[in-house]
Amino acid sequence: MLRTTIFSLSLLLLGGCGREPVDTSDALTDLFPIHASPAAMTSHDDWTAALSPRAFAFPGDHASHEDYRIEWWYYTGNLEADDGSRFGYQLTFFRTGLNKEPNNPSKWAVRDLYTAHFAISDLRGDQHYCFQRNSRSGIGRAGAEVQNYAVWNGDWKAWLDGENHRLQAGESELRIDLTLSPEKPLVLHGERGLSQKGAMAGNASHYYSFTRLMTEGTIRIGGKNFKIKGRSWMDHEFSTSFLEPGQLGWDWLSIQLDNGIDLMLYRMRRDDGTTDPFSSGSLVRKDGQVKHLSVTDFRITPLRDWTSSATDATYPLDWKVEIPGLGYQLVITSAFDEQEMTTNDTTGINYWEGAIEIAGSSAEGSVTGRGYMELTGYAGQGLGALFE
Amino acid sequence: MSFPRLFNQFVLRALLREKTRTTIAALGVGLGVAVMIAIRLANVSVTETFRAAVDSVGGNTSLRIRGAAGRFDEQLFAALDPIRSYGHLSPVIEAYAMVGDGDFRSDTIDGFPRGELLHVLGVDVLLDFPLRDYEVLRVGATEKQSAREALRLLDGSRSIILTEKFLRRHELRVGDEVPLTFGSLTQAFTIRGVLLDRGPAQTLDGNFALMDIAAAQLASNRLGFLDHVDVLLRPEFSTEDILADIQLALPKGLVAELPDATSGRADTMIAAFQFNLSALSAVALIVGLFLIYNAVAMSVAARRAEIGMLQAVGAGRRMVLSLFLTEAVFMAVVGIAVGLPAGRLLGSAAVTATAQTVETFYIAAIAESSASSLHLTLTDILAVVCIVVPLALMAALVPAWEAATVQPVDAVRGSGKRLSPRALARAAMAGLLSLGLGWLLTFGKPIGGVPILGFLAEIALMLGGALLTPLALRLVCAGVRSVSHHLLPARRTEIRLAASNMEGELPRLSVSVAALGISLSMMVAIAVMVGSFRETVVYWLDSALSADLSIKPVMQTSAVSEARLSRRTFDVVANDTDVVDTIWFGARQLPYQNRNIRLATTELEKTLERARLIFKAPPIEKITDDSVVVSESFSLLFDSPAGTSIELPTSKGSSSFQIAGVYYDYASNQGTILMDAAVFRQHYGEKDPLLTAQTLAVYLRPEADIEQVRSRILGQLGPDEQIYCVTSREVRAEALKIFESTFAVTYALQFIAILVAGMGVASTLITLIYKRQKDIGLLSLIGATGKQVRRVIVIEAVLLGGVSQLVGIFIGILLAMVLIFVINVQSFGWTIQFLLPVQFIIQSTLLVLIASGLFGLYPAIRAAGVDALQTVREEHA
Repeated sequence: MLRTTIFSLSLLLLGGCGREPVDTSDALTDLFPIHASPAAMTSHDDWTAALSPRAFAFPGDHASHEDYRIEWWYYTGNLEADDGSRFGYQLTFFRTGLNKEPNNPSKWAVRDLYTAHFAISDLRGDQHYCFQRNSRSGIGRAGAEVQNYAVWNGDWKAWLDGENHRLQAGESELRIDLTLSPEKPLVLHGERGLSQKGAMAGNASHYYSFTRLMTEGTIRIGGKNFKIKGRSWMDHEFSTSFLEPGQLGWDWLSIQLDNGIDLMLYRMRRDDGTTDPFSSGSLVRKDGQVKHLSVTDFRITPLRDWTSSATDATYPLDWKVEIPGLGYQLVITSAFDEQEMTTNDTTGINYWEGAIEIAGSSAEGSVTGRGYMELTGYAGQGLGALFE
Repeated sequence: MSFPRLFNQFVLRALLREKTRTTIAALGVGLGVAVMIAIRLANVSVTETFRAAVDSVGGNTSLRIRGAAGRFDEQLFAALDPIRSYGHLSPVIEAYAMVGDGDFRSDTIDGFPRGELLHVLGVDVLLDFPLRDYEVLRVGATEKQSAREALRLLDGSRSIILTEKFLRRHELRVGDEVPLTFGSLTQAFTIRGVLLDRGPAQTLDGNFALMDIAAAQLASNRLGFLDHVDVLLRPEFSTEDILADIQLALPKGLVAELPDATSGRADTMIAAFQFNLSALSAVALIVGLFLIYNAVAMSVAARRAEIGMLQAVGAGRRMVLSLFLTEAVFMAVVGIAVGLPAGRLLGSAAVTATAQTVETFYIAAIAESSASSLHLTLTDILAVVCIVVPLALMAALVPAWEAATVQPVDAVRGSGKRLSPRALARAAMAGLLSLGLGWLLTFGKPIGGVPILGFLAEIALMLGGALLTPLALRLVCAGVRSVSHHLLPARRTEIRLAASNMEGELPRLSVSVAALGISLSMMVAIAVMVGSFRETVVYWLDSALSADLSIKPVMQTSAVSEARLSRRTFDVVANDTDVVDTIWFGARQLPYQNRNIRLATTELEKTLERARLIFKAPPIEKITDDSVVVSESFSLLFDSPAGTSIELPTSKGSSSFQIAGVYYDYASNQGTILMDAAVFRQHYGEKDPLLTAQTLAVYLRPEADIEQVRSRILGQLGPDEQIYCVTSREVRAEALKIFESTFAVTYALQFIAILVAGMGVASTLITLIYKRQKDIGLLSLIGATGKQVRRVIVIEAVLLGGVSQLVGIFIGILLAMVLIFVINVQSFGWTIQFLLPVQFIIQSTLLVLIASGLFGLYPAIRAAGVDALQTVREEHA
């Protein structure tokens, strides 16, 4: 998915300790004649653009594609412990190329910036915990292997163990250690994995998902270890550019229905309030067959707004989803409201990413399900500016 | 009469009446106060500026991880994972650069580079923001965070963020390029952002730069290394509690310490700076004390009659005592009032002047940036009052007590006490004992690294000199009287009269002469020490400078500096056809037993063969894999003679080394360990030791023209390679120049000492004239002309000055011996050959005699103007 919001995080990065902003008063602006974006420090021409469908080869293509500027590995899931306790989790690794060939032999020279997000939603008490890391590869600090899939940021890591994906992450008293095994083959989105995001050639990504991963392992929370079982979703996407002017943010849904159907829906919002024509989706049948959904194939309508007290941003948390051609009528509700990823302390860009519940009907009858939702571009300035 | 009324009539009016006397005394105190406050301000200001720099650059760092051997291999950073559970880690490179692309070469080889120093902090800009209080100027006012601007540092390998102050001063803007010189190489860096004036940005008055760690490694030639890793602990941990745990969790070769520890070691650098100033301070205090004593004594002598009358009308001893003490306090207060503002002005000058004498350019830059911000605090004023007022009271106590205990009849009649031969002998005996005690004290060991017993010995010697003064005075007077008809037959009456007068006032004069003698002795001692040191170093230089040319980067200003020569320089030199051999030499700072020492690397065998080191016994043994050669200062500082072994921190933890020899080295007092490059590589993991080279000794074909080779090398290197390429003759000339400028300071001291001596002579004589008005009156009555009376007084003045100088030379030489053989050895670890600067001593003696004579003119004229009849009439009234 286009997690552009999060991307901008890796470009904005770090920051002070939530201090009041200093006004760039007129007295100081004379020192600052230029207004360049940090994203502009690398020319896109240095990197490979996603122009045509790729001949994917796995498991090699799970690993990093260093010729592309932007890449991420994205895991979300709903988990349940033996005692019925329910949890949601998110673990994401981003790589953003800054200097394709740094002219500095130092090991600390930054070719790629590694950003990672880790969050746990505790559905027992509606508690959401989130963490962020920004690193350079430095001395083994962060990285993504190019041969055999392994990506890490400090002691947060994801790697391939046979067919299975292994995830480990921890921060203060929270910890996950999970093994994810595919229940369906992976799915190539768009045209054979080329997901077009804008009108211009090259504004696209190579994008595939594991939409249904049987998940086992442990979660440590509140000083207690839980043995858990559940279902995860994995996205892997790499590109060099995709955002175009006027694209404001997006709503992304990953849905795993009890009838064995998985659904990915993505709506790009424009700054004039309309839906971007490059919004799209995929429906994955029980046997792994994919049906591509274009912007005209589905309709999503917000039902309820919630305003975050932390950021004052208002997010539409409940939705109606309609796919008329396939007879789907679904109502999406957030597992609980407060699942906002806040980075006020560091980058100041915020988004909502959390567990959702699904109920509704299909042509065959009533369905329920679980999933994850990402809502970006509701807090703060427009994002497109960062990628000019 | 009430005290205030008495004070008004007896003290204030008298002070106003005797304007000259009052002014001299108050000015004297003022001078002392000014010097004291100047030195205090200079010390405090430099220390504070330095600490502030260390603190603000250190930021919130709770503890610091460094290599046991200083800079360490960056790969060890990966092994710090166990520490991460305690807090946030940030790797750091700290370097210095010169601003601009001009020629930084100063006129002197060992001078600081001309130009501005920039303190460069290289950090991982992704990790470091929680640790330090930066505020990077935002691109737009609407943005919340400074992150985006700092991130621009990742753009390219020569990006830099500078402070607002710096940019304004240089009229630079973001996007401009600024040329900087690290080591010897000048390169252009692109300004990517502005640091607002807070936190580390205030270091060196804004001469602070932020770079990304990768760029800083490249610029400072430290690829593969880290200077330290700063740790910000989680709030639940306290540094004291977990320091030991962290130490255990660290890989071998790394140590954890509190951030202050770094500045603690650096303190020894400031300590050298402050030592110079403190010595001056002590001289100023003794002078001030003497002047107050003299002023009160003068006042007492001048008003003997008044005291008698006071007592006759019932004023008690306590009242008389209080009156004179109050007078002293009054003068002290006036002196303080004059001295404080003068000291404030003097302070800036002192800082600027002393800045050039310190070993590191960084401290000099710190000192200079602090000179502009000196300010007097209430504490400074209180400190001065608390020191000067009690001292003034102490100094005034003797004459005031004399005034209080005088019998009314004696007081009115006037009667100087004579010193009995027994008292004279007792004083002389005590003096000899004191000298003996001083001698014994020189055998003491330093206490806590400070030669405290040595300083006590100096005090005992000065006391001894003071106690021997009456005898000296007596002998000189007697001697002069007995040879007067041989010396100057025409003036023998005046000479005899002068000598007798002085013998008659032995107790009073002894105090003055002793005080003068001691201030002169300090001047002599410093001159002897500097002179001896000069000769020793010249001898050493003549032997040690065997290379035809020596090359070093312009930033290599001192042993502490870490500027390197570039690889290119080596290639250019090595490829020159006239060059037959080169020896490179590099040094780094190594923390060792709570101090920083110098670990020098070289091609040891070649050095031993070519560089003609002068060895202290025993002669060097065969160099093996674990042997090192150490400098004399190292050997003395750490009590490690040849043949013993030492445990040095290395990049693997620590290793034992055998001391194969001890050599003389006057280039640094830090303590140097000379190690072969191969041994160094083995223990310190430098892949390319050549990269650590700081100087290059170049040996030419015998028939080569040194000037030609030099201009060829400089021409090939071009203007961007900022190096010195100097001949051994130039190095020698340079060293001598440094000594000459040190002598210039000595001459300034001499001038002050002589001025004070002159003023002392004058004020002492004025006092005596008051006491002897009736004698002078009688002289006139029996036919002495005014000229004759004047002559007597001038001869007395010359005698006073002469005896003071005599005492000064005698004690001064003893003080110098203790300085050279005890204090210097214990604190610097240098052997200095004792040599007497005869010319200086003769010259200063003549100057003292002339100055005394000139200063004697004023009291002489006053004496000649005494109304003979009036004084004699008073006597019989």
